[in-house]
Amino acid sequence: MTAVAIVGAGLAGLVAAHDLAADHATIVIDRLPATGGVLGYEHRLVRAHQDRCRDAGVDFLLGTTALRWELPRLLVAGPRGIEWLGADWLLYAGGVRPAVQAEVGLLGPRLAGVLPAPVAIHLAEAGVRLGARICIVGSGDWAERSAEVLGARGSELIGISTDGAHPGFAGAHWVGWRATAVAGTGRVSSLTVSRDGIDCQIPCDCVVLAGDVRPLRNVDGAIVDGPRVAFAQAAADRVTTQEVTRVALEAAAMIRRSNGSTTQ
Amino acid sequence: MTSHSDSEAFDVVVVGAGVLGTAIAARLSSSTARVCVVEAADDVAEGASKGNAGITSSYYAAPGTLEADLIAGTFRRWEEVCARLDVPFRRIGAVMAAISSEEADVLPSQLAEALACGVRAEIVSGDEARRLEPLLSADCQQALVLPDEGIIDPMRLCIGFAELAARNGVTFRFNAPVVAVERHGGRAAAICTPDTRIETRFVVNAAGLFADLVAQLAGGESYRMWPRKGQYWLLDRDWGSRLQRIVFGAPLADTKGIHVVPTTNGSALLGPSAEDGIRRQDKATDAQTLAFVASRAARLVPSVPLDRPIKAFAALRPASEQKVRVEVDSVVPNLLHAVNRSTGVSASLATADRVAALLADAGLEFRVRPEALDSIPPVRRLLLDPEPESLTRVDARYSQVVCACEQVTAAEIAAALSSALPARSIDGVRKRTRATGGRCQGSVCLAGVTFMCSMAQMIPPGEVVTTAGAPLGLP
Repeated sequence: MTAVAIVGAGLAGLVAAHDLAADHATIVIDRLPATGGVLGYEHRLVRAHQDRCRDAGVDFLLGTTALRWELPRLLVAGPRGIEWLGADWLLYAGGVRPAVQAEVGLLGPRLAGVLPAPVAIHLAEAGVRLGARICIVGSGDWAERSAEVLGARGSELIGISTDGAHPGFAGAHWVGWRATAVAGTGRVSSLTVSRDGIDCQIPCDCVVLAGDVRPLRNVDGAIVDGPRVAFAQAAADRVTTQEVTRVALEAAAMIRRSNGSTTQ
Repeated sequence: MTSHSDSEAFDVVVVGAGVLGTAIAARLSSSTARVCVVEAADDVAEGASKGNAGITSSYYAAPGTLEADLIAGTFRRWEEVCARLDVPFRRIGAVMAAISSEEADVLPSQLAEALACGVRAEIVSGDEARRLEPLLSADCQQALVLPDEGIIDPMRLCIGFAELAARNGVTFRFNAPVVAVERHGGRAAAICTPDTRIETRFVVNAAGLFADLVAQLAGGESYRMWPRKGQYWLLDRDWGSRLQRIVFGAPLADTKGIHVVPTTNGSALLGPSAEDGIRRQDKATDAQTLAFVASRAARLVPSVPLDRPIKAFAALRPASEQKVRVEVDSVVPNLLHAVNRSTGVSASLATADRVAALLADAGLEFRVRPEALDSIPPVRRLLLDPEPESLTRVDARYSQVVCACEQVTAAEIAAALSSALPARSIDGVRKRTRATGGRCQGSVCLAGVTFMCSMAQMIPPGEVVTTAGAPLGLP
């Protein structure tokens, strides 16, 4: 039986795993020790899909980071140690992340206080006060989640959104403006936003990068593409569970099609 | 401010913990000399030594110059030194590519200089150059091949020097800018920082971009340093690891040109620009220069993936009228200068030897201590280890990957936080391990690294220092 290693136990990974399980040896690997990804372990769809996967004989290797894809094997590190797993296919369902400073095109020096949204959320939840006046760049899920967590800690929030969509949180908003540069000494002290050749400087002490999502890729040998790699990542902000499911089934179908053409 | 109880005494105070300051400290650490390094920043390699292309040049300057001598006295020694100091190094060689006929015209004079410096070099056809570096542009007409050039991790080099020095008993004082120099009888007698007064017999000024200010405080000769900004792009390992050689642009009027440089961890650097300025803190990038760097790099290697950069950054080289200054001050006889604009890494080993000799000539008596260490214990790294499966037998924490992009484990970060000269900031962890430095720029691991720093230093996470000495959170 063809072996498929699925990286990511969020909704996409679980949907793909269940779809492939009937005629493939399927294992789902996730960095975190629980299934669910961004939806979380408790989500109704996550619970349902995980149960279906168990019934269909899918293996799980949780708390385990996939490192390197060298067809036909995948290097992983987890509670069992560091090991090579045999696999004929890698299905990568690693979710998305906001664009980094260079991808956004945010110029200026490297400064404290300029943080990717997942980090800002994590630290704020751990009790770190990240800023008194925080610019949140982006208008999608990451921006909204950042606003929820950071706003709850009493920081003043300012939203910057390129695409004209209104960030769904209270605060001053620069809709239709692009964040173009940061300035400061040591710590960020202002964010420059631009529109139609006009620049404005917004004083702030923290900038959260929460927009322009990209697929999160970190398995060597499967960064852009790779031999026998299928990606199930809906790289868009505010993506629906239907869309995630569609992308996952498409990736699974690609593996099935390719097996059909190579083995029969 | 300073009381006598805060006073210390050393034979040599080295000002600056960049590549030259740490190389000198490591060199002297095997001797009976009592050495202290004072550094304004909170870590080693916080100036030009962290913001450079990571090239060990085999030749750079005109034959017969001090700079050429120092490079010649250094470049053959890297394999041996890097093995002892746990520093990533590979002698992959370089091709200096001529795309235009104007650039091709420059190659013969470059060849003559390289040969005069005792370096292996030859001019080859475009086809031969593309055999050596398949990603090179189809438009490359000719190239100068320099097989002795290498790539090094310049931050790990400073860390290696400093770790060896610290293990051999050298004292390091961080967050210790020199604010005054006490003088007696025309000599520099004590270095004052905000917290301490350090009596010393000799002062080695390795303060890089700030060397002129230290010289001035010590009453030494007057010279001027200014920042020469270099802007770079960092590109991902999945592309960078396909590069086989360093690709140099042919030299323009004032600089060696824009290069495409593989790094020791597989990523690639494009740069640097060369912009003379006056503000010594100005490390801002700008769109126009970054676009220039990108276009010059793409001219050499068309497949550079400019649509997915990891980061863009600027660094400041310590420029001066005199490119390299390794000498005793002409006014203050116990003050030595060790400053280098562009080739600090490439000249570091011979510079340290020369400083030791100058100190001996100037009357510092020191003997080699046979019991001194000459190496530091290596830390195995998951990303580059040939037998990754065996790592968890050394330390179970190797199975815990904290930074997924750069594949840095809890074992490696713990080692960085507990060495003789431990990381004391997120940037300090990044310099020692690469954690947070990969394609997601810490999106996944920065919080985890923060918590590890917090635990190691026993401070709240919000007080953990990130880059440039500023804490992550507000008080």
